[in-house]
Amino acid sequence: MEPVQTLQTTNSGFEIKWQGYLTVPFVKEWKNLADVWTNEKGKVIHLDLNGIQRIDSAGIQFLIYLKELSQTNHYSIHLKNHSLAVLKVLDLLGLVSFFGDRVKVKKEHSNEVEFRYGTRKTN
Amino acid sequence: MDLTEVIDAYLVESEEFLRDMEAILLRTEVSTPSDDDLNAIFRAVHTIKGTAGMFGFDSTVKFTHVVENLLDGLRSHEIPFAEGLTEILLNAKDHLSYLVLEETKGKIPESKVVHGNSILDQMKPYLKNDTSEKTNTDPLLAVPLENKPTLQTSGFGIPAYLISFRPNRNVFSQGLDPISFIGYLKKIGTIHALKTISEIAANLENIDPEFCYLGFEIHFVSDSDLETVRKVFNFIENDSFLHILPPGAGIQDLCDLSGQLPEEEILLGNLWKEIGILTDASLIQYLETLKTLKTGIETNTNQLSNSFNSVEPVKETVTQNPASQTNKDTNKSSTIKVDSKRIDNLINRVGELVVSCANMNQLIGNMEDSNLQESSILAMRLLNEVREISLKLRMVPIGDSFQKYTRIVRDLGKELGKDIKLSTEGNETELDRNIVEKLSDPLTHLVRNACDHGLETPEEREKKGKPRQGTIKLNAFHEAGSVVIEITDDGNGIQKEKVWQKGLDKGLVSGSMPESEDEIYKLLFHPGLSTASQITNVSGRGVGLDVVLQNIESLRGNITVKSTPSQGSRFILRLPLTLAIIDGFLVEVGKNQFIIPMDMIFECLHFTDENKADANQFFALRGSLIPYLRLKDYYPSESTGDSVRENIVIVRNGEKKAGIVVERLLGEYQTVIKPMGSVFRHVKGVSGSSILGDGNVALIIDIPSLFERTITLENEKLYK
Repeated sequence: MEPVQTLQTTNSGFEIKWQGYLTVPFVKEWKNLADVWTNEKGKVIHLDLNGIQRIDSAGIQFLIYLKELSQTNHYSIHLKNHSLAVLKVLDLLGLVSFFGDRVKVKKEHSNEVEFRYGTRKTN
Repeated sequence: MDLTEVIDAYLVESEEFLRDMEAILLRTEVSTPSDDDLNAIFRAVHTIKGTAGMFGFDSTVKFTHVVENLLDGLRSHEIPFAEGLTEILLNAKDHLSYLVLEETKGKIPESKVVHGNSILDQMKPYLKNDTSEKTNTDPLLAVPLENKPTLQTSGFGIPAYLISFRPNRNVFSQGLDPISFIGYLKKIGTIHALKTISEIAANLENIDPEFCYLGFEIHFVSDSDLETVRKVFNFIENDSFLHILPPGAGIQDLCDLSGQLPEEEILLGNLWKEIGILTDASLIQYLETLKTLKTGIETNTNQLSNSFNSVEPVKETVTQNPASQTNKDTNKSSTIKVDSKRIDNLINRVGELVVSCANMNQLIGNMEDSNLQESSILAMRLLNEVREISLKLRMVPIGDSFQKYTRIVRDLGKELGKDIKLSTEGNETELDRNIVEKLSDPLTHLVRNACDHGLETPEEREKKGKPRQGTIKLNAFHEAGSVVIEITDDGNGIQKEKVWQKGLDKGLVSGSMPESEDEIYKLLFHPGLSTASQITNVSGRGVGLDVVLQNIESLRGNITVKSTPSQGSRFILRLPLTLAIIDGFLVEVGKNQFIIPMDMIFECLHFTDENKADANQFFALRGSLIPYLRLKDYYPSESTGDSVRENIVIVRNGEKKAGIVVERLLGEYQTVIKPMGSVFRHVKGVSGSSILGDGNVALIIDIPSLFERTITLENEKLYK
């Protein structure tokens, strides 16, 4: 599904809502966009992932890229409203503590994720 | 990496180990084995066991385990090396060769298991306390035998599977998603912990989102066997790094693994601790072992005994001598194993380069620019060196292949009641590996024939005044761009009359026996013709030499036979050095171009009416008659319309010479041999084709095959 992103300016930076697929065919295009957002130093970027319906290795790698880039470009990035698709991958790959954001799991999704490893608690 | 590639590597490695083992065991028939010999045999069996264990080849593991016990006793001198042990160990080696090969294809049949057990039974009297029954503490054995992960009760063993997975960079473009493979693991077990490693930080500036920079270390708990776990990654293994350590694998295995991973060893140690593969104590053990391996100074030998790789894990080899360890490391890095397909690929590419540079050189030659011409000559010289080097990559000494005939001759001698010695010469002669592999069957057949038909029994030899021991000699040498392999015996020789009579009986020939020996011996290569007076287990069923000839011809080689009554026979195999690139000589007939292999060209002359000794077939060359043929008679070609002055190319094959009449001589040309398609495989006289720099196709003339045709046309006695 073609990704859609809406950008809202906040006091400290931006909030970006992503919808659709965060998968190989789209990450290249998204990277170009991300390079534009992350050029300004000192900003806070919130990524609202509620609308992500599918994410693959390339997508998760892209999120890692944004996080790594934030260290060198001196901005901070936060993932919020993770969709189930995103949560499942973060859970499987033990990346929750890497991003360090608060994760909310809806009650109906509680059986779908375990967080047995890769959280600050276990590490 | 594809599983088949890994298994192929296991087969190749095991074959090498077993070949060495056999060579050592055969030496023990003459002299007592040295400690080095016993260690080498032990190492061979131990390594095969370890790798077989990784793949879950139970039969191989069970069998080698007992053999290893015996060898362990021998090398520690707890068991004296008794005379009968050579025979038992040779049988064990044979059975192991069978197991290694067959178990990769499927389950070993019960009859073969029984056979293996009978060999193990023969070992029992030598084994102190019958160690075959003792509890197995080898962590690698725990997996295949139990077929489920087991924790080690003593020493360190990893608690479950450790999967180290680094997808290849292009995995996304191949339409594969590593996450889905990892997710699939959950269907056959539980991911206890997983650590994602990313190389993104290191590549931040130049990241390409379509490349994969991720890697995974997985602590995986499952009842499934190693094969099942590995199969999860079947589709993605290609070009990716995948290493699965089974439950119970030891510190040494982790050290070996860390050497293969891109991350730093200490970082990996911490990472494995993080996912629960290492504990605090075993992390220290791991770091100490790493240190030992790097410095060569051992701190605790017992901890190192869990190796399954070819690194000798026992006390003797992890010595206290740093110098010897360094030396070993140096030896280790001096050779690398490369997939033969990659080398073939390289040679093909170099071949293409040779062709296009030859064309470029031709064009530059026509230009009047001396600087350019000089550069072009230099480039061609370098390219020739590259070509030579790349061709040598595939060259192996024939001696390795000769070695196995010692065993064949020994066993056949026993079976036939003959005393036979095998001597080899020219072991260092190098030949294309592809050819060596395909030579194995024909050579085996010829050696067996020499043992059975060629040599007499000791009694017969004694009566004839010959030594009781017969000799078979294998000799290899280079000659005129070919490799010649001779199989000689000092036996009875071939009885020409008998062969001719058989030919008459079968209706293959008619008339009286010709003077030409070659014509008579050629009958030996007819299907179904055997001169053996009785059929034995070894040979004589009339099946064989025809297949030998076919095999040799498929390698663009030929066979000639020489024999002297009561003195012996010699089979001479003449083969091309390589099947890939040749130095050729380009000639033209009408509008068609042909390439004659340069090595076979003796000289080129102007072909005039004066030197045609015979209106049709012979050419006078400095007092001798040489048969010739006109290429255009065999490969009709459209005429260019110009009146041409013919030339004759004198070629030689072994001792014989012949002429090929062509219209134009175009000069030397390096070329890549492209095999003929299957439709044209029956076409005689052509060994392949080549695409010339200008895009035209030239056929490569197969001289031996053309000789064959010339000989058939003319009476061979005129060659003399």
